[in-house]
Amino acid sequence: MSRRYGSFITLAIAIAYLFLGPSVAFAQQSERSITVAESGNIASLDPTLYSETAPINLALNIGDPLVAVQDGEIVGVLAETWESPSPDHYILHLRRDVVFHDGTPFTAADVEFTLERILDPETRSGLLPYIALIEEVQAVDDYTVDIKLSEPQVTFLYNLSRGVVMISKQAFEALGAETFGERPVATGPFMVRSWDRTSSWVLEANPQYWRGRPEIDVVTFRVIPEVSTQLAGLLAGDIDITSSIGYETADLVERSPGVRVEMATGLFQEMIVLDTTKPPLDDVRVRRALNHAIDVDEIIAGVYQGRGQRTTHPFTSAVFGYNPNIEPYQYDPELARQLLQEAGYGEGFTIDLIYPAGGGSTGAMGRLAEVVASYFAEVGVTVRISAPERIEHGRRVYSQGTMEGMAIAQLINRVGDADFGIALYFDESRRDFWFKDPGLVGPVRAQLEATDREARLEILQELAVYLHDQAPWVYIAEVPLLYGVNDDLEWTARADQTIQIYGARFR
Amino acid sequence: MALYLLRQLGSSAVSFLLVVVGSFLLLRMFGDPTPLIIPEGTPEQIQEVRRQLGLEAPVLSQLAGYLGGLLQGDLGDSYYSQRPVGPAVLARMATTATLVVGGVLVAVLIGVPLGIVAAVKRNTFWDRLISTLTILGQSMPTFWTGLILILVFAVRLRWLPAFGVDSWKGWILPIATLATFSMARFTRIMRASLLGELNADYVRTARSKGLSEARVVGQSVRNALVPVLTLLGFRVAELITGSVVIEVVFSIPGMGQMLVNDGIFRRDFPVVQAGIMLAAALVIAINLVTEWTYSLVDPRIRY
Repeated sequence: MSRRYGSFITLAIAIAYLFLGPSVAFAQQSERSITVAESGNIASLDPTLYSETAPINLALNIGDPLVAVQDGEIVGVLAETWESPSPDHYILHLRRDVVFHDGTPFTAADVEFTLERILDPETRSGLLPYIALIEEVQAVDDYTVDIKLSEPQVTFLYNLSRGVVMISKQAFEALGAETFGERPVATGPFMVRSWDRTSSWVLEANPQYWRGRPEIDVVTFRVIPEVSTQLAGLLAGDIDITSSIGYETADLVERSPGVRVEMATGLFQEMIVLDTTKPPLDDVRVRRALNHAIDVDEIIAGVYQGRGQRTTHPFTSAVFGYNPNIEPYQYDPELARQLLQEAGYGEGFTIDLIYPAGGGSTGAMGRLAEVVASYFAEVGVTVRISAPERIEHGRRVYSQGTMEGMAIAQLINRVGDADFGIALYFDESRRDFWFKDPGLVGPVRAQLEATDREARLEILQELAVYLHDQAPWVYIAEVPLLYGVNDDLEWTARADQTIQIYGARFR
Repeated sequence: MALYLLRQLGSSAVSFLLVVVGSFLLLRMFGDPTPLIIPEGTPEQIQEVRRQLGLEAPVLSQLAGYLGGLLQGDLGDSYYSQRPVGPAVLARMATTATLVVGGVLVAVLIGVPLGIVAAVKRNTFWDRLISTLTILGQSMPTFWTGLILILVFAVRLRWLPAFGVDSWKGWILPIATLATFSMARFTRIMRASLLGELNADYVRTARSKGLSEARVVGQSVRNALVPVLTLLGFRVAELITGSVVIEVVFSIPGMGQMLVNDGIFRRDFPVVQAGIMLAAALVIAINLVTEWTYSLVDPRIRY
C-alpha cells in the first residue's frame, strides 16, 4: 500500500516536472525585456537620417557618438582623446577596442564615411545642421580623424554629441542605403532584431559591446501617439517607460501603484518669445514691463504644480554658460505700469499670443497662456490668445518667422552648451527672427572663437546678463522632463530628452 | 441598366479627378514641409531640400508631373521617408478596413435585430430600453468610450491589451468602441423603416388573409432593409476616414494614424494625397455598390 502510494507521488512529481520543470527553467533563462513607448514613428532604422526624438533614441541605443556631454563637459565615447590646434580644426583619436555589430573593427574610415554621408545634401539628413560647418573630414590613419571647419566653432564637439552615431562603411556599401535602413550596423549596446514599419522596432543586447553587455536583453520601442494610452499601458504593465509626459499625467502616475515618475532637469525651459522687431515690443521698457507684470513664483506653483524654478536668461542651470548670479525680475505691477507709461503705452495695447494646441510636452502651455494674459491685463495689456496646431506653431515661431506678437515656446538644449540656444534665437547669421540686436554680434562671434574655456564662460555669462536686461523673452521657468516608469525597473531619465537603455536593469 | 452603370462610372471618375486636383492644390496652400525635414536647419539648408523635393517648381507643373505619375500607378515618394507611398498606404488600408468592417458588422448584427424588436414591440418597455441604450452609445465620444474600455478591460481586469493589434485580442476593444458608436443609427433606421412597412396596405391585406404574424414580420423586414443598406454604405465610407480617433486611442497603425501622424503633422504631401485619394476612391466605390445592391434586396427597384 505504502509502496503504491510512494510510486504515485513519484509519478505526480514526474508529471509536475513535465509541466512545470521546463517552464521554470524557461523562466530562469527567459529574456529580461522591456517596452518603451514612443509618441512618434520612425521612417528608417538608418541612424544618420533623422533628428527627431524617436530616431535619435534609436540611434543612441544601437550606436555610439564620438563624444558625449556629461555635466556640461565633453567626454569621450568612440573618440578616446582629441585636440584642437585651432577652433576650426579638430583631431580625434579613436578607441581601438570597438567592433561593429557584425564583428568588424571600427576605424577612422567609418567616421569619415558617416560624417560625409550626413554632410551630403542628397542624404537630406536632419542631423546636417549640427555638423554643417565641416569642410573636410579625413581619416589620417586607422584611428585618427582630422576634421576642418569652414569657420571657427569651439562648440563643435558638443554638436557632434547630438545623436551623430557612427555606422559601418563596409556594411553600408555592401547592403546599400535601402537595406541598411532595415538592418543598420553600428557599434552600440543594442542591435536591431526586427522592425514593423507601422508600429514598433525591437532591439536586442549586443553581447560584444565594448563597454560590456547590457543587462536588458530585449527592448521594444512601440509607437503610441496618445499619452492616455501610454498611461494605460504603463498601468496595465505592458509599458515600462513612457515617452515624456505632461504634468497632469505625471500626477496620475504618482498616485498609481507599481509605477513612478522619473524626472530630469537642467536643459529644458518654457518661455514667452517676443517679436522685438516691431512696436510695441521693440521698446525694451515694454519688454521689461511684461517681465515685471507676472508673478512667476505663483505661476510655477499653480501652472507647473511646483515643479520648476525661475529662469532669468535663456541658458538653463545645466547649460555651459549659465549665470547663477542674475536677479530675476521682481513681480511689481506698479513698476510695470510705470514703464509702459514711460514708453508711451500708458493706455496699454493689444497683442497676440500663441501657444501650440495641446499645450506642448508639459501640457501646461494653455494654462500658462491664460494666467499670463490675466497678469498682463492688470497692467493694461490685452492679450488675444490663440492655439494653432503644434506644427503650425513651430513653423511660425522657429522656421519661418511669421509669428505676430508673442509666443509661448520651449527650448530643450539638446547638447548642454549655451550656443545651442544662441544659434536658434540670438544669432542673425544662423537663425534668428525675433531679436536682431547689433549688441549681440560681437559676443556671439567671440564665444564661438574663444578657445579658453574660462574666458568663454565669462563671455557667455556676460551675454546672459545682457539678454536678461534686454528681455527678448518673458522669462518663465526651467522645468523637468517627466517620464512614467515601471517601479521594478532601474532607469534614469536624461535632461536632453533621449531615452537610453544602456545601464538600466531590473531590481 | 448597362447604360446607367456606365453613366455612373463616368461621373464617378470625374468626381475622383476633382478630388485629386482639389486636394493637391489645397495641400500646397498648407505650408512648407521642408523645415520639418531638417528641423534645426538654416534657411540655406532648407532651401536646398526644397529644391530637391521639386517644391520650387510652379504648382501647376508639379500637378502635371503628379498626374503623369498617377497614370502609371506611381503615387510618389514620401518627403520624409523617401520611399514610395503607394505600398505603405495599401498596407495600412487593410488594417483600417478590418477595423471599420468589423465595427460596422458588429453594429449591424446587434443593431438591426434590436431595431426589429423595437418595431415589433413598439411603445413598450423594451422599445424604450433599446432606444435609451443605443442613444447612450451614440452620445459617448469614441475616444471616451475607448479609454473607458481600456481602463476596465486592460488596466483593471488585464484581459485584453491596452494598445495595438498584435493578436486577435487587440481587435476586440476598438471594434466594440466603433460598434457602440454606430449601432444606434442602425437600430433607429431599422425600427422606423419596419414600422412603415408593417403599416403598409399590403401588410394589412396579408394580415386580413390570415398570414401569421411571424411571416408578416419576416416579409416586411426584407423590404425594410433598403434604408439600412443605404446607411451601411454611408457609415462605412464615413468611418474609413473617421476611424482615425479610434486608431489613435488604441494605437492601431492604420491609415488614419498614418494620415495624421506621418502625413499631416509632417506636411508630407504625397502621404496625405495618397490617403485622401484612397479614401475618395473607396467612398465612390461603396456608393456605386450600394446603389447596385438596392435592386437585389428590393426587386421593385429597377434601373
